[in-house]
Amino acid sequence: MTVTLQLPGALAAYAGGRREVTVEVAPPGSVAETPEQTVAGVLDRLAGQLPALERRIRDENAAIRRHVNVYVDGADIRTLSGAQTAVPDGAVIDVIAAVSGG
Amino acid sequence: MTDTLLLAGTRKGLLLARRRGGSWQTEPLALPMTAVYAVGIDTRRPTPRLFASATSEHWGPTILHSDDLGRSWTEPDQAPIAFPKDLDTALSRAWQIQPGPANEPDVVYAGTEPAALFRSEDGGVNFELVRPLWEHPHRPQWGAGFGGQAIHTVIPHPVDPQRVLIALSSGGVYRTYDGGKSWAAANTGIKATFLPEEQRYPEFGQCVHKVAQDAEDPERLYLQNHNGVYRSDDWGGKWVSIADGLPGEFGFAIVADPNHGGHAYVFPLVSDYSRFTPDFRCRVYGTTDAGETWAEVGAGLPESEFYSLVLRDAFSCDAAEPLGLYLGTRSGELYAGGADGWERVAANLPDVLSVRAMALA
Repeated sequence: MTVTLQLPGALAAYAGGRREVTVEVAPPGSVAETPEQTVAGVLDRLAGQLPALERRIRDENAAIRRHVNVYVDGADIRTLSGAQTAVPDGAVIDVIAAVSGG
Repeated sequence: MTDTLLLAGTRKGLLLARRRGGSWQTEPLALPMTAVYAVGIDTRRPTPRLFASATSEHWGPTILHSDDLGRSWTEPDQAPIAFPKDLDTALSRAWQIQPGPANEPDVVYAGTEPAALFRSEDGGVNFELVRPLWEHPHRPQWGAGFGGQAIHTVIPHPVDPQRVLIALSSGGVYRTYDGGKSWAAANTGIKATFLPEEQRYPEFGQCVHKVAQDAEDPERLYLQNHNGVYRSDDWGGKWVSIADGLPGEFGFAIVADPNHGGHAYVFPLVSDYSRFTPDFRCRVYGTTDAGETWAEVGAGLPESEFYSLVLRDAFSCDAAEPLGLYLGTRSGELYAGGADGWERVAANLPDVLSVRAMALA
C-alpha cells in the first residue's frame, strides 16, 4: 500500500525540494503487516528512504518530536493511538510544526 | 589589522562576519530559526573546517560543517550525534564542538545536553558516545543549571592524547588519563556556594561555567565558576582562587590567550544574585600573570546602562598578534577588540550563544 506524507516548507529541503513524499508500506497480509500499517511503521520506512527527513520528525528513540504534530487523514494522532495509529491504504499524513518558540 | 573570520551562533541562527582591510562585513543570517549553541573552527586542515550545532525547536538538533569557510554547510543523512538505542535517551543539543589535539587530526569532541561526551574520528562528521563517562556512578547525581544539564567544555590535553578534561553544569570538572576509559572528578578547591556552608567543597556537583587552557604550560588551566575564578597548575588536581582584583567573581566565560602563557580574560558579573556587570559598565578584565593581577582591557565597550551579559561560549579569541578578542551579548551585540580598544561588529541580533574567530591568511 502507499501513503502520502505532506510536509511543511521547512522540511522540503530534506525531501529533494518536495512538499509531498510517497511511502510504500507492506500490503495487507504480508509478514510486516502489523508494524508497518501504523504511523510508526510508515516513519520506519521513511527512515530508510530519507533519513535526514525522518530524524526531523522523530528522535533517535523513534519518538515523534515534542513540537511536531502529525495528522492521519485530518486526525491528530495524539487524540488517537499516537505513533501506533493505524494508517489505511492511500492515507495522507500531514506533518506540521506545532506552536513553539519565540 | 589582521583579516578575520568571526562566527556567532545566536538563538535564531548563525552570523558570519569577515574583517578585511580593517572593515567588518556581515552576511545574512545562516541556519535561520535554529539555536546555535556551539560553533567551532578546526584549523588543523589545509582549509579550516567550520562547525555549527544547530537546534530547531521543531525539528531537533544537528551538527553541520563547512569546508568552504561558511559559504555552504553540509551534514550527514544520519544523525551526526545520537544516543545508542539501549540508553533510551535522546539528544537535546550539542553545547560544545572541540577539535582534538594536533597529533590526532581527525578527532573532534562534542559535549551535549543531556550531559554526555561524544567523539568523532572522521573529522567531526559522525560522533560516538564516550560510554564510560555516561556510565560514571556520579552521573545520576549531576544537576542542571537554568539552561539545562550539559557538558559545555572539552579540553583535550595539548600534549598527551590520552588525557581529556571536561566540565559540566552542574557536576563540575572530570578528567581522564586513559583516553576516556575511566574518569575522575577534579574539583578540589572549587566552591559550591549554592550548598550549605559546611558542604561547600564537595567532590563533585559544582556549577563550573567554563575552563580554558594556558598557552604555554600544558598543566595550567583557568576556570570561571558559578561564583569564583580559579587556576590549576596541575591540570585540575587542585584549584586556587585568582578572583582577587576582579570587581566580581561571578561570570560565565573565560578565555586564555593561545599564544602567551599567563594571559587570560573574563567578563565579570556582580554575583549570582545580581547578574549585571559592575556599575552596569560592559567590561572585559585580563591578566598577564596567570591571575595574580587583573586590569580592564581596552576602551570602546558600553560605559553605562549595560544590562546585558555574555554567556559562557559567547567570548572567544583568535590566535593573531596582537590578540583579537570577540564577545557577543544576550542583547544581540557583537564586539571585536582587545587592549587597543573595541568596536561593534553587529547589533540587533538574537541572543548570542557562541562565538569563535580565526585570523585569515
